[in-house]
This record gives sequence, C-alpha cells and structure tokens, in this order.
Amino acid sequence: MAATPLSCEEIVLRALLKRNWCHEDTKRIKADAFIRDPKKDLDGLSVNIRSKTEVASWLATFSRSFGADTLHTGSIRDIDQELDVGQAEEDAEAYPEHAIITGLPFSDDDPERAEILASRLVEISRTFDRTLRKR
Amino acid sequence: MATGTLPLYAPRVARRPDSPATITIVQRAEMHQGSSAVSSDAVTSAEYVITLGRIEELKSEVDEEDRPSDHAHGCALKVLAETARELSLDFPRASVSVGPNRGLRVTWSRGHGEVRLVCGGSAANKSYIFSESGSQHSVEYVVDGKHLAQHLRWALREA
Repeated sequence: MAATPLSCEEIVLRALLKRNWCHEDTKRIKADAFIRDPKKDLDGLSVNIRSKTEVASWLATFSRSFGADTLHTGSIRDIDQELDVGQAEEDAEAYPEHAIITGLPFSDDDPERAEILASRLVEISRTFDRTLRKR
Repeated sequence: MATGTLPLYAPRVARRPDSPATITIVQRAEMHQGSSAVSSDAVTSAEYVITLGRIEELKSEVDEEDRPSDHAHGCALKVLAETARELSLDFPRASVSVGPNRGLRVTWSRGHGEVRLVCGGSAANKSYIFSESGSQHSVEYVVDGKHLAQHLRWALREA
C-alpha cells in the first residue's frame, strides 16, 4: 500500500482503545498500545495527525476510548530505519487526519522485534489525554 | 497466636504447595518459665492477589473482543501460579491487558526494567516472555513459572 510520508515535524496521536493500554497505577502508556493487531492494523498502526484533529470529537467516535498519547514523527523515524509515518493515498481525501505507522511486525511473526519497537515507541510517547469516553 | 517475650527465634518460612504466593510463617516464641509456643500464619502476596483480580476484571468485560480467550486466561493463571510459588511474597504486582487475538499481556515494570508475559489467544498464536533492562533484552519461548521468575528477578532487580 502506497503511503505519503508525513513531515518530520508533524505530531501524531495514538488513541488508547483498550482498557489498560495505560498502566493502571501510573497511567503511563504501555507497549501494549503499540503491538499491531492482525485484524485491525493490516496496513500499519493507526494514528491521527494532531494539527488536523479535534481530539475530543475524534476520541468520542470510538465505542470506548481511554485517552491518547502524542508522538513526534521525526522521533518515530529515528527509532528504526524501517519505521515510517505516512498517509494512505485513499485516506488523503476521505480521512485527511488519519495516518499510519508502518514497519512494525506482527508479534506472531517476530515477537522480539515487535516488543523492542513497542518499547521504543513508549519511550517517545507523551501523555496527552486520559479521559474515559463511552458512546 | 504466639504469646510471650520477644525476641522470637528466626522465622522459619515454608511454601504451601497448594496455595501459590502463600507462605506459612512458623514462629516460636520463648515464654516465661522456659516453655515455648509455636504459631503459624498463612500470608498470601497481596501483589499476586491484585494481579489476579485485574485479570478477572478483564474476563468480565462486556465485549468478547475485550476479554482474554479461555486459552490465554488459562495459560496466564497457570504460569502466574507457578511464578508465585517461585517468588512467594516477592511476587510483584502486574498490569494486564488484552492483546491481539484476545491474547493476554501481563506487564511488570520497575525503573528501567520491564517484563512482559504474553499468552497467545490460541494455540496458533505465540506465547512468550519478553524482558528488558536498560539496553539489554531477552525473549523466552518456554513459558512457565520458573522462566518467568528468572526474568522478573533479572529485569526488576534493584540497581
């Protein structure tokens, strides 16, 4: 799938869509939030472009969400040369705020690399919102 | 309960094989006039109990997709029970969440160390232990209490 790379300056948001993707005690995001789901993250890990997103409205579109973290696109690329952040051509018009982090393996294919990269993504994540929203 | 004059003898600690993370503390106290008394109290690791409670909360999630599969749930409980026997009261509190294919992810963090027990959602999915400490990391595909305890001791050791 062709994806147009985002600018390195772009900030992206990763939504916390599962209970306990952030730590129960510290509320810090966990590596669990950066493990690709083969049923949902076929093309890559979904993120939203901060500058194009009204965060509260976006998080309210999910049946349940637990907040979001921000990540700097350039810092994601610095983690590993295989990692990139881009926008699918078909998203550019329909969902201009949506982007994907590509280059993450599925944990069933390469557990070690999936966990290491998830750890590095946690390190560069910044807590942005921890509001529970339900529809 | 023991009564009498402290100090007690050095406590003798024995694991109770039928109850993970529960130890029996046997204490003998010197009493007056040369007699002695022996007490026995079972103590279960509170951290282990909290961890199991968190898993049970996930198991009662409304949406099936948010609940761990029976396979993952069973795997986690077995490994955690074995680990609790290895670590007794040193069993640390874990954070839990549901992963892809309704697998169960159990995470321990301390300082720059982290251990993740990943129980696959089905036999077709991989189960493993991942641990890291500073710049070092390790993956273990033999998932049992003995190995998990080793990873916890290594990654969560005090600096």
